[in-house]
Amino acid sequence: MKTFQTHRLILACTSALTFAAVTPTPLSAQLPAPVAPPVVTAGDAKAFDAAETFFRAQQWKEAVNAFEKFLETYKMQSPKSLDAKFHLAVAYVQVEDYVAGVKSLKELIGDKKVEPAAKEVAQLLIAKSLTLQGFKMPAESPVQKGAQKKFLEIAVKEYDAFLASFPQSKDGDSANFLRASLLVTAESFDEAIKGFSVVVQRFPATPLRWDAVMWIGKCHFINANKQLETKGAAEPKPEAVKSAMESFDKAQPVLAQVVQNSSDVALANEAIFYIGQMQLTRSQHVEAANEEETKKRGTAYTLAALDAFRAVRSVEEVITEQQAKIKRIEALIPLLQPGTADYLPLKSRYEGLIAIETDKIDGYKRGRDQYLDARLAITRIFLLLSKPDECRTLVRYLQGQTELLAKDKDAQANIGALLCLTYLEQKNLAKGGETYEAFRGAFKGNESGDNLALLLANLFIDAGQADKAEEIVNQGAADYKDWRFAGDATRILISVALKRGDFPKALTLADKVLAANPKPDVEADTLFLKGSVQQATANEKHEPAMAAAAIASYKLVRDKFPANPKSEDAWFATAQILSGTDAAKAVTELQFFVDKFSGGSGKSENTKLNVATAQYLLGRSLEATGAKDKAVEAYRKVIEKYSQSDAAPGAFFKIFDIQNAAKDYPACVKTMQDFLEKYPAHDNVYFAYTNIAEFLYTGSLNVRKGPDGKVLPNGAATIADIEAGSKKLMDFVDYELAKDLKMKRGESALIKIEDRWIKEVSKLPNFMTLNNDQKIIWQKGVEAVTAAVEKQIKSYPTGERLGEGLERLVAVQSARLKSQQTKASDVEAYFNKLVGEAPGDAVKAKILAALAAFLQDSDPKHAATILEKAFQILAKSTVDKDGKPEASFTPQDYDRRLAGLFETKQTAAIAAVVQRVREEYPLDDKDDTNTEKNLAGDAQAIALFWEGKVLGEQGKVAEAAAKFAELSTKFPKSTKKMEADYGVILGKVEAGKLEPEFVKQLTDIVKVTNTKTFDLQAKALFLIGRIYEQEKDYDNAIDTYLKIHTRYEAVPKISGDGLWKGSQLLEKQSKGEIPVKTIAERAAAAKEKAAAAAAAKAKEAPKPAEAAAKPDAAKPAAPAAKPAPAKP
Amino acid sequence: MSKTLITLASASAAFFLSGCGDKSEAEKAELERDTVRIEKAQTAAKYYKVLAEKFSDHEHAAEAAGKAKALEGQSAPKK
Repeated sequence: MKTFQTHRLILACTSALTFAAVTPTPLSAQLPAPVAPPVVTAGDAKAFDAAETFFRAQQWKEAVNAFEKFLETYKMQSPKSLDAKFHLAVAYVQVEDYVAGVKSLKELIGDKKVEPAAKEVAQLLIAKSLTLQGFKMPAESPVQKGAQKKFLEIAVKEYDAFLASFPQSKDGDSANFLRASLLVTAESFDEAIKGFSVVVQRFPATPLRWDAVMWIGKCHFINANKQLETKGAAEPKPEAVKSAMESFDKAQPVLAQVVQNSSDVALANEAIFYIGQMQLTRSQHVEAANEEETKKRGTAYTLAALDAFRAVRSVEEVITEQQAKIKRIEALIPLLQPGTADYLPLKSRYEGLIAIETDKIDGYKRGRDQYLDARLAITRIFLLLSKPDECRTLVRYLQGQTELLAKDKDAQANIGALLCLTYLEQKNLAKGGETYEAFRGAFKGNESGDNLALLLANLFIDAGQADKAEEIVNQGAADYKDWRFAGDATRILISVALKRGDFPKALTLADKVLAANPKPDVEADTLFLKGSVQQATANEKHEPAMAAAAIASYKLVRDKFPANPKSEDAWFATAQILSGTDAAKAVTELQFFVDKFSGGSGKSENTKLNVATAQYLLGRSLEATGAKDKAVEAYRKVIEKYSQSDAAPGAFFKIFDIQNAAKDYPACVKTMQDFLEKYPAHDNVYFAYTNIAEFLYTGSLNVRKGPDGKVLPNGAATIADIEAGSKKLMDFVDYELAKDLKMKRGESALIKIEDRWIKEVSKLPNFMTLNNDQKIIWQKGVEAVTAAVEKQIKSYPTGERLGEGLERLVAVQSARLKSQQTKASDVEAYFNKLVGEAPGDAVKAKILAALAAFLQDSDPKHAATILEKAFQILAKSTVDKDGKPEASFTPQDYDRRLAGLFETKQTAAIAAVVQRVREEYPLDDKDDTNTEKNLAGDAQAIALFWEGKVLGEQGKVAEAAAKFAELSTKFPKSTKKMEADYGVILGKVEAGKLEPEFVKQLTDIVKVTNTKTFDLQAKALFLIGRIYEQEKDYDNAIDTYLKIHTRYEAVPKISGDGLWKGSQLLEKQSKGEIPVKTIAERAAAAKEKAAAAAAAKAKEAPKPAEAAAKPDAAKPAAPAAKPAPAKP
Repeated sequence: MSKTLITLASASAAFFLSGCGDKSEAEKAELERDTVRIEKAQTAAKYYKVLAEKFSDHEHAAEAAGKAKALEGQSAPKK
């Protein structure tokens, strides 16, 4: 900060006092009488008067020349010589020839003939001359500043000499004031404050009093800001912040005193402006116990700053007040009595005051307009308070103040930058870009907007426009030489490369920055970023070499910049990599990291979070090294010490996994219960409930011990266990509904209940053969499934899995019907009751579709009518909140509907339904069409199948074949693909065209186990029997036919057909109508068949050379990823 | 009951075969096939019965019951 004193201000008192000293009584008259006094001649008197005329007219150059000539002519021989020398010294100072001035003044002081009063004036003038000379010295570079400081120290010593020699001087106040001012410029704030305090305490009546008070406050203020200054983008150290806040605490009451008591508008205005700045700075450095308190106190400071800035008056108001003040002083001068002892001193003092106040006015006119600065500060505060609209309103108002802004291009640029910032804050890319371009057009390179390119580029990255982000960053780099955001800019460019997945480019960019000898902070950041890119590459491409390279980059960060916060981040990242590559080493690194930073000593803002993650990774690494107990201990620390971290909930599940692997099931349950207690609203609450339910369902909690005391494998689940597991899941459903949890998973819990009971019921033999206990289980199962599905209808009517639930309801109602526990008409009435109570047409339609599925086997016509009704109710797809069609019916509902339409030859309607299926079940990237369980895949396969069927029906054989081929390629595991294959084989078998591959192809269909019904598998097995029969392989035909009823009892028609055909063949064999084989003959036939199959296989297999040429074909298929055992 | 019949039939076949050491391979095989045919009849009866009892709604259930009865009668050991 530039110290304020100008030439006029410093010399104001001096000139007056000089005149006071020389004018009324010539120096010579005050000197002791010389032994031989020189005579005043007419010539010297005349020459003196002429020179003095220039002096009085403030024609300083002319005065210098005239007095120099006088002294050259009369030496020190004239009685006017001493006066002349004094006048010449003053004139030297006025023409800024300080060296000559000081030399003359020192000679005068050393002259015994000069009286003390004159020496007093001379000594003060020496100090002031040095002050002026010091202020004029360049002070841009540290070397220049150092030189100035040394010079100012000499000036301070001259003031000290003055104050020591003339302790009673009337100029004590100004001498102390100017001395303290020098100390401010020399940044010796404590000493300066002491100096200004002397002015305030020892000279209570001095006109400099309030200036001195103001400067005490300003010294504290400047001192605080100096302490907060940092190089580049670094944050000030905590101890510096603490000290700065203490300085602000001292500045605050002093500046407030100026505002409240000084009655000096100019000073008060300046003081309130500083108070505003101070509060604003304080708002950025609040330290409180918690985030909420920090925010609260920060906002309080910001609002206080806002109040202060609002109170800053316009420069015109201040000048008007200053002018009125000057007039009041001027009015005092005519009231003085000329000739009295006080006349000249008081007149001089008033004139001095007028000079000081006039000088202030000049300062206000020339300097920055604090009113404008205050308004700009207010706009920034609005941004800080996240009020971009208010900020923009003020910016627009200021833009309209053309007169105010006319002379201040920086302010104009500031306003342009602020306008752009308001849009960037609101993430308004279009307006942000527009105002950025406007700023760039008018103020390219202005510092006030040096962050715009960076922020805009970030927005472009968020919007996925990496190219544009890169362009903007390059503009920023071009506009600002030595851009303070160069490091951030490079990081954006690297982010752009990362977004594009262009890791090599990201690395090249990082290397480019590193090769350009960057500043230490940028080098540390870039090295770290390089390590991150290498780490990401290693993760994506599974390249151990790249992981090692990342560790090497991180090591460089740690070795070269141990004090940089990035060093901590690099340490953590290293340990993180090791946790995936070398668990033992990771344990050591992670333990060190945790030990060092768990006390909160980290410098990096990431360390607090990283310590928690490191503790978690420590558990994982210990687990990987086999130290399970220690791993549990480490995970427990995550839970206890870092319960708020993201890792803590996961730690519960990791402990669970370890306990589960150790078969300590009661402990597993306890862990999950603890999790529920600690994180009752966590997203993974569902998994905790299902894990507990799973233990109950499997009977794992029924611990049985062998004779040796060891725990035996899982005990079987009792019905009580299954009921308890179902209750646990139902508890979750009720909990989710009561708490209205964000992530809805209750439907899945209900489906789990339904599946578990269906499994239990399906284990039971035919209902007729059940004993009483079994009948109770059967009944409980049916009731539990029914209740769960009804809950789905009631509580999750728009749920995605309602269709699946209804399929299960159909299954249990069919079981009831088969067991003769109900009649079809009763079940139909039950479904109709559900329809009547259902909330909304979509649910009604789904229930009707389920009823149709129930009736499909027993009464296909009636089923078709009901299904048609369902499709009438829900004639069009409903759409979700994003406007995307929702699944109206299950793929199987659609399949039945399409079959019905096909049967009745409604091909146009089929096309519409096929289209609807495609829209309701779109395939996205997540859908792996090559898996067996895939709802969207099933639906799309159904659409293709029926398209093929229609084309076949229309005689378009080639197009139909193309559809079926597409079906086989796209959905090889789908039921429809198998159905199509089965249809083709059936046609050929019926035409007597047997092919060797048929049995294998049909066996593939039989092997599929994930289908909801087993009709197709049963039919395929039956067809295999038929093929064997046609091949006259009667024994295999019989075996195959008779297998059907044991495997597919739930498909009674085909099971019965198999029994009938198998028994018939047996009977024919018994009667000799078809041949039988002895045991040896059967063995020989089997051997022969196996040999033929092997020969065929060998013929198909590629030769070694071919296999080598097609390495991919020889590779085994990648194993399917296993789901995590218990963790979500 | 059919299980008992199979056991008896097998035992008698073994006894019968053990006493024919001087027969040709073809004759031995034919004798074995006769035994197998008896077993086939018993097995057919068994499965006809399963069809009749377990899948009583099947279109051939009644016919199967009749055939089972007839075959059981044929394959019963003659006293």
